[in-house]
Amino acid sequence: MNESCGCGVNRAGLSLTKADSEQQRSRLRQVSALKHVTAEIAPGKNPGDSHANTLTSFDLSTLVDSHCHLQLDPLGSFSQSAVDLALEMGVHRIMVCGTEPGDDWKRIAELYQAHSDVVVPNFGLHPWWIKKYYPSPGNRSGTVIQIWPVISLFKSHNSSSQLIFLLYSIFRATAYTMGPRGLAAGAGEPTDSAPLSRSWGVRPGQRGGQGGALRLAGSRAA
Amino acid sequence: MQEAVLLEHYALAARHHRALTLHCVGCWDRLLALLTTQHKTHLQAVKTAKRTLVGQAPTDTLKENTSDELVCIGLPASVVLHSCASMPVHLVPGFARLPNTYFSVSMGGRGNTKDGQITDKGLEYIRAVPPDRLLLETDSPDQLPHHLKAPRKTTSTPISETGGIEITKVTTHSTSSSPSDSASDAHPSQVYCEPVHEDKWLQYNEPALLRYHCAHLADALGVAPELLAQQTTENAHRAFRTIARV
Repeated sequence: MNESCGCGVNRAGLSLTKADSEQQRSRLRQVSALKHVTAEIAPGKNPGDSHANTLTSFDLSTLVDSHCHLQLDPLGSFSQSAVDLALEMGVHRIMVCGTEPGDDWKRIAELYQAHSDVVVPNFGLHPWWIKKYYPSPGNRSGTVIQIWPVISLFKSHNSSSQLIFLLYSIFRATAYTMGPRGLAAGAGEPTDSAPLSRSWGVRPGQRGGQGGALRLAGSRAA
Repeated sequence: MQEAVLLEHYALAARHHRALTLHCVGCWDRLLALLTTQHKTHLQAVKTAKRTLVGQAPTDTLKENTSDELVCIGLPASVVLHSCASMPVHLVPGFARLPNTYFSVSMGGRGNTKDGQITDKGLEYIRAVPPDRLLLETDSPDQLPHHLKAPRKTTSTPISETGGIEITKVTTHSTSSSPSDSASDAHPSQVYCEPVHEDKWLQYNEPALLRYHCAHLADALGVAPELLAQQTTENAHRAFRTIARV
Protein backbone atom coordinates (compact mmCIF):
# COMPACT_ATOMS: atom_id res chain seq x y z
CA MET A 1 0.00 0.00 0.00
CA ASN A 2 2.69 2.35 1.04
CA GLU A 3 4.77 1.36 -1.94
CA SER A 4 1.97 2.07 -4.38
CA CYS A 5 1.27 5.44 -2.73
CA GLY A 6 4.91 6.30 -3.01
CA CYS A 7 4.87 5.33 -6.64
CA GLY A 8 1.86 7.55 -7.24
CA VAL A 9 3.55 10.49 -5.60
CA ASN A 10 6.63 9.92 -7.66
CA ARG A 11 4.60 9.69 -10.81
CA ALA A 12 2.75 12.86 -9.93
CA GLY A 13 6.03 14.57 -9.18
CA LEU A 14 7.52 13.42 -12.46
CA SER A 15 4.53 14.56 -14.52
CA LEU A 16 4.62 17.95 -12.81
CA THR A 17 8.28 18.31 -13.67
CA LYS A 18 7.62 17.28 -17.23
CA ALA A 19 4.76 19.71 -17.59
CA ASP A 20 6.84 22.53 -16.14
CA SER A 21 9.82 21.82 -18.33
CA GLU A 22 7.59 21.53 -21.38
CA GLN A 23 6.13 24.94 -20.54
CA GLN A 24 9.58 26.37 -20.07
CA ARG A 25 10.75 25.00 -23.40
CA SER A 26 7.62 26.32 -25.04
CA ARG A 27 8.39 29.77 -23.64
CA LEU A 28 11.98 29.59 -24.80
CA ARG A 29 10.79 28.71 -28.30
CA GLN A 30 8.40 31.66 -28.20
CA VAL A 31 11.15 34.08 -27.13
CA SER A 32 13.51 32.70 -29.75
CA ALA A 33 10.85 32.97 -32.46
CA LEU A 34 9.99 36.54 -31.48
CA LYS A 35 13.61 37.61 -31.69
CA HIS A 36 13.89 35.77 -34.99
CA VAL A 37 10.85 37.60 -36.38
CA THR A 38 12.02 41.03 -35.29
CA ALA A 39 15.53 40.37 -36.54
CA GLU A 40 14.16 39.43 -39.94
CA ILE A 41 12.27 42.69 -40.22
CA ALA A 42 15.20 44.47 -41.68
CA PRO A 43 14.90 47.68 -43.65
CA GLY A 44 16.92 48.33 -46.75
CA LYS A 45 20.51 47.26 -46.53
CA ASN A 46 21.63 50.05 -48.83
CA PRO A 47 24.34 52.01 -46.94
CA GLY A 48 22.96 55.24 -48.42
CA ASP A 49 19.58 54.62 -46.85
CA SER A 50 19.22 56.64 -43.70
CA HIS A 51 17.15 53.81 -42.24
CA ALA A 52 19.62 51.05 -43.06
CA ASN A 53 19.39 49.54 -39.63
CA THR A 54 17.95 46.36 -38.36
CA LEU A 55 14.70 46.61 -36.52
CA THR A 56 16.37 45.82 -33.26
CA SER A 57 18.60 48.86 -33.62
CA PHE A 58 15.76 51.28 -34.24
CA ASP A 59 15.31 53.79 -31.51
CA LEU A 60 11.85 52.65 -30.52
CA SER A 61 12.56 52.68 -26.86
CA THR A 62 9.36 54.30 -25.74
CA LEU A 63 6.66 52.21 -27.34
CA VAL A 64 3.38 51.90 -25.47
CA ASP A 65 1.15 48.87 -25.85
CA SER A 66 -2.28 50.41 -25.46
CA HIS A 67 -4.21 47.20 -24.95
CA CYS A 68 -3.21 43.71 -23.94
CA HIS A 69 -4.13 40.96 -21.52
CA LEU A 70 -0.86 40.05 -19.86
CA GLN A 71 -2.80 38.30 -17.12
CA LEU A 72 -4.21 35.66 -19.44
CA ASP A 73 -2.50 32.38 -20.23
CA PRO A 74 -0.32 31.43 -21.95
CA LEU A 75 1.16 34.89 -21.42
CA GLY A 76 0.20 35.09 -17.76
CA SER A 77 2.37 32.14 -16.76
CA PHE A 78 5.43 33.97 -18.03
CA SER A 79 4.63 37.55 -17.16
CA GLN A 80 8.15 38.28 -15.87
CA SER A 81 9.69 36.94 -19.06
CA ALA A 82 7.13 38.80 -21.18
CA VAL A 83 7.82 42.09 -19.41
CA ASP A 84 11.59 41.62 -19.71
CA LEU A 85 11.29 40.84 -23.41
CA ALA A 86 8.98 43.81 -23.93
CA LEU A 87 11.52 46.12 -22.31
CA GLU A 88 14.25 44.63 -24.46
CA MET A 89 12.15 45.38 -27.53
CA GLY A 90 11.51 48.95 -26.41
CA VAL A 91 7.99 48.58 -25.06
CA HIS A 92 8.12 50.52 -21.81
CA ARG A 93 4.47 50.83 -20.91
CA ILE A 94 1.90 48.07 -21.12
CA MET A 95 -1.79 48.72 -20.58
CA VAL A 96 -3.00 45.48 -19.04
CA CYS A 97 -6.76 45.25 -19.36
CA GLY A 98 -8.84 43.28 -16.91
CA THR A 99 -12.08 41.81 -18.16
CA GLU A 100 -13.90 40.62 -15.06
CA PRO A 101 -14.05 41.43 -11.35
CA GLY A 102 -12.59 38.77 -9.09
CA ASP A 103 -9.54 36.67 -9.96
CA ASP A 104 -8.95 38.45 -13.23
CA TRP A 105 -8.73 41.86 -11.56
CA LYS A 106 -6.63 40.39 -8.77
CA ARG A 107 -4.12 39.19 -11.33
CA ILE A 108 -4.03 42.69 -12.79
CA ALA A 109 -3.34 44.09 -9.32
CA GLU A 110 -0.58 41.53 -8.76
CA LEU A 111 1.00 42.33 -12.11
CA TYR A 112 0.98 46.00 -11.23
CA GLN A 113 2.60 45.32 -7.88
CA ALA A 114 5.26 43.15 -9.52
CA HIS A 115 5.99 45.50 -12.45
CA SER A 116 4.74 48.87 -11.33
CA ASP A 117 7.12 50.75 -13.60
CA VAL A 118 5.87 49.01 -16.74
CA VAL A 119 2.37 47.65 -16.20
CA VAL A 120 -0.51 50.10 -16.14
CA PRO A 121 -3.51 48.39 -14.57
CA ASN A 122 -6.87 48.74 -16.27
CA PHE A 123 -10.05 47.43 -14.69
CA GLY A 124 -13.08 46.77 -16.76
CA LEU A 125 -15.76 44.39 -17.84
CA HIS A 126 -15.84 42.33 -20.99
CA PRO A 127 -19.33 41.97 -22.49
CA TRP A 128 -19.10 38.24 -22.12
CA TRP A 129 -19.61 38.85 -18.41
CA ILE A 130 -22.17 41.61 -18.59
CA LYS A 131 -25.09 39.31 -17.86
CA LYS A 132 -23.25 37.89 -14.89
CA TYR A 133 -22.63 41.26 -13.28
CA TYR A 134 -25.73 43.03 -14.52
CA PRO A 135 -28.32 40.30 -14.08
CA SER A 136 -31.26 42.61 -14.68
CA PRO A 137 -31.74 46.09 -16.10
CA GLY A 138 -32.82 47.31 -12.69
CA ASN A 139 -29.64 46.07 -11.02
CA ARG A 140 -26.74 47.76 -12.71
CA SER A 141 -24.58 48.62 -9.82
CA GLY A 142 -22.78 45.31 -9.43
CA THR A 143 -19.61 46.35 -11.20
CA VAL A 144 -19.46 49.73 -9.62
CA ILE A 145 -19.69 48.27 -6.15
CA GLN A 146 -17.00 45.70 -6.80
CA ILE A 147 -14.64 48.27 -8.22
CA TRP A 148 -14.15 50.05 -4.92
CA PRO A 149 -12.13 47.36 -3.11
CA VAL A 150 -9.67 47.49 -5.98
CA ILE A 151 -9.43 51.23 -5.79
CA SER A 152 -8.73 51.08 -2.07
CA LEU A 153 -6.07 48.47 -2.77
CA PHE A 154 -4.30 50.88 -5.04
CA LYS A 155 -4.78 53.85 -2.84
CA SER A 156 -2.73 52.05 -0.21
CA HIS A 157 -0.12 50.96 -2.72
CA ASN A 158 -0.06 53.69 -5.29
CA SER A 159 3.12 55.66 -4.75
CA SER A 160 3.28 56.92 -8.32
CA SER A 161 0.75 58.49 -10.58
CA GLN A 162 0.41 55.41 -12.71
CA LEU A 163 -2.89 54.12 -11.48
CA ILE A 164 -5.41 54.15 -14.21
CA PHE A 165 -8.95 53.17 -13.76
CA LEU A 166 -10.08 52.18 -17.15
CA LEU A 167 -13.46 50.88 -18.00
CA TYR A 168 -13.57 48.32 -20.68
CA SER A 169 -16.96 47.98 -22.20
CA ILE A 170 -17.85 46.33 -25.40
CA PHE A 171 -20.55 47.04 -27.82
CA ARG A 172 -21.71 44.20 -29.98
CA ALA A 173 -24.20 44.25 -32.77
CA THR A 174 -25.72 41.02 -31.58
CA ALA A 175 -27.09 42.84 -28.58
CA TYR A 176 -29.48 44.80 -30.70
CA THR A 177 -32.75 43.74 -32.09
CA MET A 178 -32.04 45.63 -35.29
CA GLY A 179 -29.11 45.01 -37.53
CA PRO A 180 -26.08 47.22 -37.05
CA ARG A 181 -26.82 49.06 -40.27
CA GLY A 182 -30.45 49.49 -39.44
CA LEU A 183 -29.88 52.05 -36.76
CA ALA A 184 -29.59 55.68 -37.70
CA ALA A 185 -26.42 57.40 -36.66
CA GLY A 186 -28.31 60.66 -36.14
CA ALA A 187 -26.08 63.35 -34.81
CA GLY A 188 -23.00 61.29 -35.52
CA GLU A 189 -23.22 61.46 -39.27
CA PRO A 190 -19.93 62.80 -40.59
CA THR A 191 -19.71 65.35 -43.32
CA ASP A 192 -17.23 65.68 -46.13
CA SER A 193 -15.86 68.86 -44.66
CA ALA A 194 -15.03 67.28 -41.33
CA PRO A 195 -11.88 68.89 -39.99
CA LEU A 196 -9.05 66.43 -39.67
CA SER A 197 -5.75 66.87 -37.99
CA ARG A 198 -2.64 66.84 -40.07
CA SER A 199 -1.96 63.71 -42.06
CA TRP A 200 1.17 61.61 -42.24
CA GLY A 201 3.81 63.30 -44.29
CA VAL A 202 6.63 61.41 -45.95
CA ARG A 203 9.91 63.20 -45.54
CA PRO A 204 12.35 63.31 -48.46
CA GLY A 205 14.59 60.29 -48.45
CA GLN A 206 12.21 58.27 -46.37
CA ARG A 207 10.71 55.03 -47.40
CA GLY A 208 7.42 55.63 -49.08
CA GLY A 209 4.25 53.66 -49.40
CA GLN A 210 3.56 49.98 -49.39
CA GLY A 211 6.50 47.66 -49.58
CA GLY A 212 9.23 50.30 -49.53
CA ALA A 213 12.66 49.17 -48.51
CA LEU A 214 11.41 47.34 -45.47
CA ARG A 215 11.67 43.59 -45.71
CA LEU A 216 9.21 41.67 -43.64
CA ALA A 217 9.66 38.08 -42.70
CA GLY A 218 7.42 35.79 -44.67
CA SER A 219 5.36 38.55 -46.20
CA ARG A 220 6.88 41.27 -48.30
CA ALA A 221 9.94 39.23 -48.98
CA ALA A 222 7.79 36.89 -51.05
CA MET B 1 -28.59 46.33 -22.12
CA GLN B 2 -25.04 46.82 -23.31
CA GLU B 3 -25.83 50.40 -24.09
CA ALA B 4 -27.03 50.97 -20.54
CA VAL B 5 -23.86 49.40 -19.15
CA LEU B 6 -21.75 51.46 -21.51
CA LEU B 7 -23.44 54.65 -20.36
CA GLU B 8 -22.89 53.72 -16.74
CA HIS B 9 -19.21 53.09 -17.37
CA TYR B 10 -19.00 56.31 -19.36
CA ALA B 11 -20.43 58.27 -16.44
CA LEU B 12 -18.07 56.54 -14.03
CA ALA B 13 -15.04 57.31 -16.17
CA ALA B 14 -16.21 60.90 -16.46
CA ARG B 15 -16.71 61.25 -12.73
CA HIS B 16 -13.21 60.01 -11.98
CA HIS B 17 -11.69 61.51 -15.10
CA ARG B 18 -10.30 58.22 -16.33
CA ALA B 19 -9.74 56.76 -19.75
CA LEU B 20 -12.53 54.63 -21.18
CA THR B 21 -11.69 51.80 -23.54
CA LEU B 22 -14.42 50.60 -25.86
CA HIS B 23 -14.53 47.70 -28.26
CA CYS B 24 -17.23 47.94 -30.84
CA VAL B 25 -18.19 45.13 -33.17
CA GLY B 26 -20.44 45.90 -36.08
CA CYS B 27 -22.38 48.91 -34.84
CA TRP B 28 -19.98 51.80 -35.11
CA ASP B 29 -22.65 54.18 -36.34
CA ARG B 30 -24.70 53.61 -33.22
CA LEU B 31 -21.67 54.04 -30.98
CA LEU B 32 -20.79 57.28 -32.75
CA ALA B 33 -24.30 58.58 -32.22
CA LEU B 34 -24.14 57.65 -28.55
CA LEU B 35 -20.78 59.30 -27.94
CA THR B 36 -21.78 62.38 -29.88
CA THR B 37 -24.93 62.72 -27.79
CA GLN B 38 -22.88 62.42 -24.61
CA HIS B 39 -20.51 65.10 -25.82
CA LYS B 40 -23.33 67.45 -26.68
CA THR B 41 -24.91 66.85 -23.29
CA HIS B 42 -21.60 67.68 -21.68
CA LEU B 43 -21.25 70.93 -23.64
CA GLN B 44 -24.77 71.91 -22.69
CA ALA B 45 -24.11 71.13 -19.04
CA VAL B 46 -20.93 73.21 -19.07
CA LYS B 47 -22.82 76.12 -20.59
CA THR B 48 -25.54 75.87 -17.96
CA ALA B 49 -23.02 75.58 -15.14
CA LYS B 50 -21.14 78.64 -16.33
CA ARG B 51 -24.34 80.63 -16.55
CA THR B 52 -25.30 79.60 -13.04
CA LEU B 53 -21.89 80.41 -11.66
CA VAL B 54 -21.79 83.78 -13.35
CA GLY B 55 -25.11 84.58 -11.75
CA GLN B 56 -24.13 83.42 -8.27
CA ALA B 57 -20.42 83.62 -7.66
CA PRO B 58 -18.04 86.55 -7.40
CA THR B 59 -15.51 86.75 -10.22
CA ASP B 60 -12.52 85.70 -8.16
CA THR B 61 -14.06 82.31 -7.28
CA LEU B 62 -15.49 81.67 -10.71
CA LYS B 63 -12.46 79.94 -12.13
CA GLU B 64 -12.01 77.60 -9.24
CA ASN B 65 -15.64 76.68 -9.06
CA THR B 66 -15.85 76.22 -12.79
CA SER B 67 -13.02 73.75 -12.81
CA ASP B 68 -14.64 71.77 -9.98
CA GLU B 69 -17.91 71.79 -11.77
CA LEU B 70 -16.30 70.65 -15.01
CA VAL B 71 -14.95 67.56 -13.33
CA CYS B 72 -18.39 66.63 -12.08
CA ILE B 73 -20.12 67.03 -15.38
CA GLY B 74 -17.08 66.22 -17.42
CA LEU B 75 -16.09 63.71 -20.01
CA PRO B 76 -13.85 60.68 -19.57
CA ALA B 77 -10.19 61.63 -19.74
CA SER B 78 -10.22 59.93 -23.11
CA VAL B 79 -12.12 57.36 -25.09
CA VAL B 80 -9.94 54.67 -26.65
CA LEU B 81 -11.52 52.70 -29.47
CA HIS B 82 -9.78 49.38 -29.10
CA SER B 83 -9.23 47.06 -32.06
CA CYS B 84 -11.07 49.44 -34.30
CA ALA B 85 -9.84 48.33 -37.73
CA SER B 86 -13.35 47.10 -38.48
CA MET B 87 -14.70 50.64 -38.34
CA PRO B 88 -16.10 51.88 -41.66
CA VAL B 89 -13.74 54.51 -43.05
CA HIS B 90 -16.50 57.07 -43.55
CA LEU B 91 -17.15 57.13 -39.79
CA VAL B 92 -13.56 57.99 -38.88
CA PRO B 93 -14.03 61.80 -39.22
CA GLY B 94 -17.07 61.60 -36.96
CA PHE B 95 -15.13 59.90 -34.18
CA ALA B 96 -12.11 62.15 -34.78
CA ARG B 97 -14.30 65.21 -34.20
CA LEU B 98 -14.99 64.06 -30.67
CA PRO B 99 -12.38 65.35 -28.23
CA ASN B 100 -9.84 62.96 -26.77
CA THR B 101 -10.99 60.01 -28.82
CA TYR B 102 -8.23 57.66 -29.90
CA PHE B 103 -8.00 54.84 -32.42
CA SER B 104 -6.02 51.85 -31.24
CA VAL B 105 -4.87 49.43 -33.95
CA SER B 106 -2.71 46.36 -34.30
CA MET B 107 -1.37 44.38 -37.22
CA GLY B 108 -3.27 41.23 -36.35
CA GLY B 109 -6.88 40.45 -37.10
CA ARG B 110 -9.05 42.68 -39.26
CA GLY B 111 -7.44 44.74 -41.98
CA ASN B 112 -4.60 42.29 -42.53
CA THR B 113 -4.24 39.46 -44.98
CA LYS B 114 -3.19 35.95 -43.98
CA ASP B 115 0.29 36.50 -45.36
CA GLY B 116 0.85 39.44 -43.05
CA GLN B 117 0.17 42.33 -45.39
CA ILE B 118 -2.18 45.13 -44.57
CA THR B 119 -5.17 45.20 -46.89
CA ASP B 120 -5.98 48.17 -49.09
CA LYS B 121 -9.07 48.78 -47.02
CA GLY B 122 -7.05 48.56 -43.82
CA LEU B 123 -4.50 51.01 -45.16
CA GLU B 124 -7.23 53.40 -46.26
CA TYR B 125 -8.65 53.25 -42.76
CA ILE B 126 -5.37 53.89 -40.99
CA ARG B 127 -4.53 56.76 -43.32
CA ALA B 128 -7.91 58.29 -42.49
CA VAL B 129 -7.10 58.33 -38.77
CA PRO B 130 -5.48 61.60 -37.68
CA PRO B 131 -1.88 60.81 -36.64
CA ASP B 132 -2.36 62.48 -33.30
CA ARG B 133 -5.17 60.07 -32.49
CA LEU B 134 -3.46 56.81 -33.40
CA LEU B 135 -2.40 54.25 -30.78
CA LEU B 136 -0.65 50.91 -31.16
CA GLU B 137 -1.73 47.77 -29.38
CA THR B 138 -1.07 44.06 -29.51
CA ASP B 139 -4.24 42.77 -27.82
CA SER B 140 -2.00 39.91 -26.74
CA PRO B 141 -2.14 37.00 -26.22
CA ASP B 142 -4.71 37.15 -29.05
CA GLN B 143 -4.44 38.75 -32.47
CA LEU B 144 -1.14 37.19 -33.45
CA PRO B 145 -0.58 38.02 -37.12
CA HIS B 146 -1.71 34.95 -39.02
CA HIS B 147 1.49 34.33 -40.95
CA LEU B 148 3.50 34.15 -37.72
CA LYS B 149 1.35 31.41 -36.19
CA ALA B 150 2.85 27.99 -35.67
CA PRO B 151 1.29 25.35 -37.88
CA ARG B 152 -0.07 22.39 -35.99
CA LYS B 153 1.99 19.24 -35.68
CA THR B 154 -0.04 16.26 -36.84
CA THR B 155 2.42 13.41 -36.53
CA SER B 156 5.73 13.08 -34.82
CA THR B 157 8.28 10.37 -34.22
CA PRO B 158 10.44 10.32 -31.10
CA ILE B 159 14.06 11.14 -31.72
CA SER B 160 15.18 7.71 -30.57
CA GLU B 161 13.71 6.26 -33.79
CA THR B 162 15.03 8.88 -36.15
CA GLY B 163 18.60 9.34 -35.17
CA GLY B 164 18.13 12.57 -33.25
CA ILE B 165 15.93 14.48 -35.67
CA GLU B 166 12.30 14.93 -34.91
CA ILE B 167 10.22 14.37 -37.99
CA THR B 168 7.22 16.59 -38.00
CA LYS B 169 4.50 17.03 -40.54
CA VAL B 170 2.86 20.38 -40.36
CA THR B 171 -0.46 21.62 -41.55
CA THR B 172 -1.67 25.16 -41.81
CA HIS B 173 -4.94 26.51 -40.38
CA SER B 174 -4.29 24.92 -37.04
CA THR B 175 -6.99 24.57 -34.45
CA SER B 176 -4.84 23.24 -31.66
CA SER B 177 -1.21 23.52 -30.69
CA SER B 178 -1.02 20.50 -28.39
CA PRO B 179 2.13 18.49 -28.84
CA SER B 180 1.89 15.01 -30.21
CA ASP B 181 1.40 12.18 -27.75
CA SER B 182 4.47 10.24 -28.71
CA ALA B 183 6.72 13.24 -28.18
CA SER B 184 5.21 14.31 -24.87
CA ASP B 185 5.48 10.79 -23.41
CA ALA B 186 9.20 10.65 -23.90
CA HIS B 187 11.62 12.08 -21.38
CA PRO B 188 12.16 15.84 -21.80
CA SER B 189 15.85 15.45 -22.40
CA GLN B 190 15.09 13.11 -25.30
CA VAL B 191 12.34 15.19 -26.86
CA TYR B 192 13.88 18.63 -26.92
CA CYS B 193 15.44 18.69 -30.32
CA GLU B 194 13.36 21.08 -32.38
CA PRO B 195 14.13 21.64 -36.03
CA VAL B 196 15.70 25.05 -36.57
CA HIS B 197 12.94 26.25 -38.88
CA GLU B 198 10.40 26.09 -36.07
CA ASP B 199 12.05 29.09 -34.47
CA LYS B 200 10.19 31.38 -36.81
CA TRP B 201 6.75 30.39 -35.55
CA LEU B 202 5.17 32.22 -32.67
CA GLN B 203 2.66 30.53 -30.43
CA TYR B 204 0.88 33.62 -29.20
CA ASN B 205 1.01 37.38 -29.37
CA GLU B 206 2.74 39.40 -26.67
CA PRO B 207 3.65 43.02 -25.87
CA ALA B 208 7.23 42.65 -27.13
CA LEU B 209 5.81 42.09 -30.60
CA LEU B 210 4.61 45.70 -30.63
CA ARG B 211 7.95 46.49 -32.22
CA TYR B 212 6.93 44.33 -35.16
CA HIS B 213 3.48 45.95 -35.31
CA CYS B 214 5.09 49.39 -35.30
CA ALA B 215 7.64 48.62 -38.02
CA HIS B 216 5.04 46.89 -40.18
CA LEU B 217 2.52 49.71 -39.89
CA ALA B 218 5.17 52.39 -40.46
CA ASP B 219 6.18 50.64 -43.65
CA ALA B 220 2.61 50.56 -44.87
CA LEU B 221 2.15 54.24 -44.05
CA GLY B 222 5.45 55.17 -45.63
CA VAL B 223 6.90 56.78 -42.54
CA ALA B 224 9.93 55.97 -40.42
CA PRO B 225 9.25 53.52 -37.60
CA GLU B 226 10.83 55.97 -35.18
CA LEU B 227 8.34 58.64 -36.22
CA LEU B 228 5.39 56.31 -35.76
CA ALA B 229 6.74 55.14 -32.40
CA GLN B 230 7.27 58.71 -31.22
CA GLN B 231 3.87 59.88 -32.40
CA THR B 232 1.90 56.97 -30.97
CA THR B 233 3.76 57.18 -27.66
CA GLU B 234 2.97 60.88 -27.39
CA ASN B 235 -0.64 60.04 -28.15
CA ALA B 236 -0.66 57.36 -25.46
CA HIS B 237 0.63 59.81 -22.90
CA ARG B 238 -2.18 62.16 -23.83
CA ALA B 239 -4.81 59.40 -23.85
CA PHE B 240 -3.73 57.80 -20.59
CA ARG B 241 -2.80 60.93 -18.72
CA THR B 242 -1.73 59.28 -15.55
CA ILE B 243 1.11 57.31 -17.13
CA ALA B 244 4.45 58.55 -15.93
CA ARG B 245 6.73 59.38 -18.82
CA VAL B 246 9.76 57.21 -19.44
